[in-house]
Amino acid sequence: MTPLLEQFLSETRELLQSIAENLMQLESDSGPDSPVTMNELFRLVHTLKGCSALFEFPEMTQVLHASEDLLGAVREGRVLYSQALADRLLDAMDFVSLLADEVELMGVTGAGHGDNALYLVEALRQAKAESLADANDYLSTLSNPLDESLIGGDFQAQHLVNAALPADEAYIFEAILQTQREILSLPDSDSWLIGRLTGIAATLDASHRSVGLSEHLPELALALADSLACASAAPLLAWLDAQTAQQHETASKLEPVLESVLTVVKGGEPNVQFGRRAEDAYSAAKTLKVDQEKIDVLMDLIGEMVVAKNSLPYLAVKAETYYGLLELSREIKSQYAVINRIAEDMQDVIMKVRMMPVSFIFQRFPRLVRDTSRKLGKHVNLILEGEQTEIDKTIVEALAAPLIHIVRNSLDHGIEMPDVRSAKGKSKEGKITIRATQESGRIYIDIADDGKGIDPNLIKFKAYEKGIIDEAKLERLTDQEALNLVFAAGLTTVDEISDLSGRGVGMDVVRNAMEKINGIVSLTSEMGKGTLIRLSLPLSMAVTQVIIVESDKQLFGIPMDKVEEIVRIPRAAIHTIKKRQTTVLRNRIVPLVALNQLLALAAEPLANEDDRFATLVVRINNEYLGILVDDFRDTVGVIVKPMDGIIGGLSGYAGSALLGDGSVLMILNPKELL
Amino acid sequence: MKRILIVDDAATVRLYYRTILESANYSVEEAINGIEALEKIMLISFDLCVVDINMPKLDGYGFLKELRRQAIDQPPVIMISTEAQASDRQQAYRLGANLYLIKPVKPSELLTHVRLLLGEARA
Repeated sequence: MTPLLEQFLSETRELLQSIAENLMQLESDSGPDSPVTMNELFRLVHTLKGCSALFEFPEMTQVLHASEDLLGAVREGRVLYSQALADRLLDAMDFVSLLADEVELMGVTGAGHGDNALYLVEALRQAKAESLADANDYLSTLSNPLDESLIGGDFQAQHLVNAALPADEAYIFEAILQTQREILSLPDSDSWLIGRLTGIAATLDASHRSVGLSEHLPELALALADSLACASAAPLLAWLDAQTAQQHETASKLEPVLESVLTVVKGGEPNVQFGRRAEDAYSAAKTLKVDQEKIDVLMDLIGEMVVAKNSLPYLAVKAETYYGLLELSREIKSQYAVINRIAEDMQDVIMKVRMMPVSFIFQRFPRLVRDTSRKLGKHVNLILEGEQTEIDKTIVEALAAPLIHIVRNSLDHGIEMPDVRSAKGKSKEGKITIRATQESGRIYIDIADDGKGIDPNLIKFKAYEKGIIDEAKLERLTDQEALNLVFAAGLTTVDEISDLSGRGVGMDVVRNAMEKINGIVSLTSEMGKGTLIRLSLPLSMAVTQVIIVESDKQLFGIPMDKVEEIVRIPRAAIHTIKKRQTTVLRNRIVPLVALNQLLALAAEPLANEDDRFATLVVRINNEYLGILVDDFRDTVGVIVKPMDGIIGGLSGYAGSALLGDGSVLMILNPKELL
Repeated sequence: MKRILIVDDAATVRLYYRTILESANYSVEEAINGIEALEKIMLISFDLCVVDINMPKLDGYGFLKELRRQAIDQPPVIMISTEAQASDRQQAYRLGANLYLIKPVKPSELLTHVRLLLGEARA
């Protein structure tokens, strides 16, 4: 793909996005009366059309041309803006977007779009013709609905005019002179006349020089001086006329030649070579587009280096204790400090490279909310906040589907019909807010609606009916616990969720998607007031902080983001309640389990010399659990690599990681272990 | 090396012109609207400007008018637009354009026009 085509595709996406945003804007607050938005919209479509005309994508240009026409008519007040009209424009832009996708994939637009293009063009023209002023105009086109004006035929016709002789110097020279004469014949009254005259003189000077007619140029300079002195074009015009008279003969001789060239051009476009040689200097761009794979490889390499540098402290210890080289050990340590700093900087930078604003996903929602709410006959106002919040690309991408799911649910089950809302004393227009915020290393995305909320009792009942909870639990369940059941897998298979007062459709899918990217989803809801779903996400997922623990003389890693607290619990503080070991920690009963037991190791957990047990308190599905281990070691940043092959099926492990001394650390997945 | 200023809000169009013009060994600068173009022109002189009409903030017409009012060396200006009406052409000329071409302009065509406005002989 040529750089030009790449540029075109990326610009097309930006423009399409802006067009969609402006269309939304027209529908919202300012309304179609806003001339600013309308002008902007027209300009965007116009620009896009101009770009597409540089390539051979006739269907795209056709549709954009018709869209531009329609917008032009709206802008001039000849056609009334309406939602139906916006729908057609959006359809047209979707089509353009589809073509752009195809170009991106295959380098060309696919075959068989002609009919769609014609259909869309016709729809756009009808929209334009629906206004009275255009009715006659439209009728006259009906007899010949697919005339050349569709393909921007005027485009090509005009093109032929100024490109008639692309390379013929004499012809263009003549045209330039003709144009300058035309300009010189304009009235002399404009305040910028001096500049205009100077520009013409520069043009005449250059063009004469180009074709080798430089003998009368000193006189041109004099004529310009005269013109400037009396603020009149007359002296320059006189010079030009004198020149033309002399050249007239030459020009007439050229005529037969022109004719023949013209035939050639009309017969077929000369094969113009276009493109840059590799060795030519490219523009000093401030942004650089890089294939994501390259960034990923670079990130992996940096990750490996971060780990590899950790071998230096081992080496230092070895130099000192094994070889007795104290000096060398010291030098290695100081060198390590330098490498460590650089490696950490590199890691920071590569993280930043991968960061992208959440607006990347947010921008899809205005359209989604608009279309869905119209389909449902609801009025919904969407508010987006914190779109500039940045987050790792992988996470952003994984976030799209769950977010769409949540918003759809809010629209479908959360927001009530307008008359229901009125009856409840709410404003007819429902509100959905999507907000991104960053707080200490995590990103929070809140999706809030002011709909009817979720009835915990209904959930309890459904969950009981489906056998997800038993009778005893049904009694004990708090409302919040009931709401959390929304994420339980079984609940999704319930008949029609719509009669379950709220969400449920695939909320377990949302939870699973979140867990894959180390995210947490939580839900709060108040009957009649609305529902808030909060997604809590890590900033980045490249390097995982793990704590190394020892159990039965083996080392394991446990991701720190799962660990709430690290404590040593005295043997005396461990009680057995209902055959389970528990302890009380910060006024909370925390069940305890030994890691050895989870891993089916026979050994009993070891206490330290104070008779205390090393315990990691982890939080899983909002419940706390203490895991007894033999001892803690360091926390380290590692790259967790998923396991392949046969051992890939061991869900108790999140993966493996390489430590600085070259040994492999198995990273546990506490949630699956339990 | 002759210096040319391209003024267009569409990056694709700018890259298109740049590629063509750089292939003929011209030095190319870009501006994304009239304001930016004026700012550049006030700092360095250009031998030629290639200007779009429809742009945000300050369009091609506005740019031309301001340019021609300045007491600086006045470069020739080529306007390139999708508007094919005579009235647009007239307007551009009155405001100080020296040529008016209709988009899309073929590479060889652009190069010949540019060469003639830069006073260079055929290579």
